[in-house]
Amino acid sequence: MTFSEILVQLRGVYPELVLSILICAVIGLDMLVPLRLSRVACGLLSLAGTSLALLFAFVEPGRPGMEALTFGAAVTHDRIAAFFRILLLLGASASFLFLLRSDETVGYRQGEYCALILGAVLGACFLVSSDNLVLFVVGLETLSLCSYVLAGFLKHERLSAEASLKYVIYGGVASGVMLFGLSYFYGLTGTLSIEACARALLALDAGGPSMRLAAAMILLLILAGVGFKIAMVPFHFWCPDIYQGAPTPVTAFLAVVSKGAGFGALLRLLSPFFAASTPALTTFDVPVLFGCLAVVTMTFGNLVAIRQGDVKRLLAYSSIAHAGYLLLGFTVAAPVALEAILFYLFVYLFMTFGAFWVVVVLVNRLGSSSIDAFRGTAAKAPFLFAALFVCLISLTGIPPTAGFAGKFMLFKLVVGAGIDQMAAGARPLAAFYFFLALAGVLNSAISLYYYMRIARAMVFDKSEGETPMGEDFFDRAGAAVFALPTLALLYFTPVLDLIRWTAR
Amino acid sequence: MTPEAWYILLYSAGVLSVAVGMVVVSFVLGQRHRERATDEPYESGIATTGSARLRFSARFYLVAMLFVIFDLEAVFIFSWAVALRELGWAGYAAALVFIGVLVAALVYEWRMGALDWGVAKRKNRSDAPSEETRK
Repeated sequence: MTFSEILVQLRGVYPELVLSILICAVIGLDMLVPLRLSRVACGLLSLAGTSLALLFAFVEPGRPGMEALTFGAAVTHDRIAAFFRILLLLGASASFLFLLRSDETVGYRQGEYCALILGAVLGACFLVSSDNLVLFVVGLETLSLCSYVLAGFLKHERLSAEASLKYVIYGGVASGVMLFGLSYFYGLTGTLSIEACARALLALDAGGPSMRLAAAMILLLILAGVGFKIAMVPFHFWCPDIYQGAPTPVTAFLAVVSKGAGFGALLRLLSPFFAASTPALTTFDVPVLFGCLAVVTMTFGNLVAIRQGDVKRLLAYSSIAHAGYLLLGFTVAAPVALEAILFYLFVYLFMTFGAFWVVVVLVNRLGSSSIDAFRGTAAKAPFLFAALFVCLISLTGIPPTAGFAGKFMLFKLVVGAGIDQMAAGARPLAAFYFFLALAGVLNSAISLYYYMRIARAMVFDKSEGETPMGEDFFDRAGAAVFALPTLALLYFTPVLDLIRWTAR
Repeated sequence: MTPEAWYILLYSAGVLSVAVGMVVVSFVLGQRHRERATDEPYESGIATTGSARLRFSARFYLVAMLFVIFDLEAVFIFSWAVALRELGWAGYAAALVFIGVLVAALVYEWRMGALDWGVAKRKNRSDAPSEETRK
């Protein structure tokens, strides 16, 4: 292999290349500047570098035909990869805004924090653009290992250290289970290509009863590993403790980027099942399986969230519920389903970051993230409250926010599938789809209660002091950056164009 | 059942009987000793001293971990050295990048005091947040 060949290969991975160089640069910078400047210096450098990577991801979204050239066809350049790279890098840039604002990590080495976030995003980018199971696992582990350290970043605080330990144990088991499934897959099919994955599974499925069982086992074991990343019931147990114990910027990162990468991985593995030509597996129907998982996940998340007293923990259960809504999109095998999932993920990024941004600012001021501590803060910080309120009604799915549009697309998709099945004469399946839509709507109603509990505590409950909190410009600007798209994303056609382009 | 399955069953039974047989037969036929040193842990024939439950400095694990990491990375460099001529200048450049990253990591560890054994003399780069910086 010559220099020019290597350079040609690297053209496909410019964003990842920028991130890799940035990791070295940011820890180098951290050594040079004094500790008190470390947060601003490292945060700004990482923000600038991630924005550059984002730019590369935008101008070179995908290069069809380059697959065979990039690292022995291990990295693919299809549209799903391009979309998720943009989504993940957007999330990473936002994470550095959180770092610059939050006081929770002050006193710790900020260069390490930036390098860990960048490492996690690097892993996530390779995860969503891999077409090789080895790269898939390496990407997933890079993301996971960085996340474990980030969860325990405040290593002198009990909750954070506990969160990290729990995360690493659950995560290790989940990865192990998934690798076990992948080893069966490789042993039985002899291929590592994800492109050929679904075809190989279907071939196994057609190969007699024992092979059929093997195909079902492989799919379930892989689902356990990916389900852990997206916090899907029954692999969600880590989620509340880690979200509560980790520093709030890390929680926001996990809720958006780590979960987004998990959905990217799921789409990558299952995308062949989205083609109408792919026949169903005989042992179980993939759509029906996902439908059941979606209902259980959203119902569990919403019901348990009702009784939470800590905002971060509440948002953890809410993020479980949102994983459930997103899984609804996996019940229909059609490009329009892909469109609904991607749009919801995009909206989810803004509304979740918006909610966490306000939590970060309030935790800076109040030193606590319990709902009781938030009492009466609406009058003291009206702008922040307005931003949080927009994000909360968007998370619930009330118009005129983008969250409504996202949910509407998902529910419309499911109802449409139900009507199609009805027309085709499959009455039980049609009833199942209608049940899914009904469950989604009922769950949104439940979620209204606990999201509004936060708002009610902030508006109607009295607090001791009446002095304004003194929101500064950065507080407001950050809140606006996340809350305004949550309001207006629906009317912003480039995003919809990007999503249509991806799903086509 | 297919013939292959019978072979596997037969083989498993053989393996199991050999393993169990060795333990049972040596238990039945073997001699019994009850001496002073019977219940003591075997330490390469040297008499043991003290308890096994020692406290090690946390530094020990840190240095051990760093050693393992750099040791593993040496494996990559050895494999490159074996195929040096086949890989040519492109391989040389790739190895340079790899070693460059390693050097950056080593410098970082050094600067951050991860390699200092004994009294911590990290002044400005406090690892634990001090009282002034942490509210």
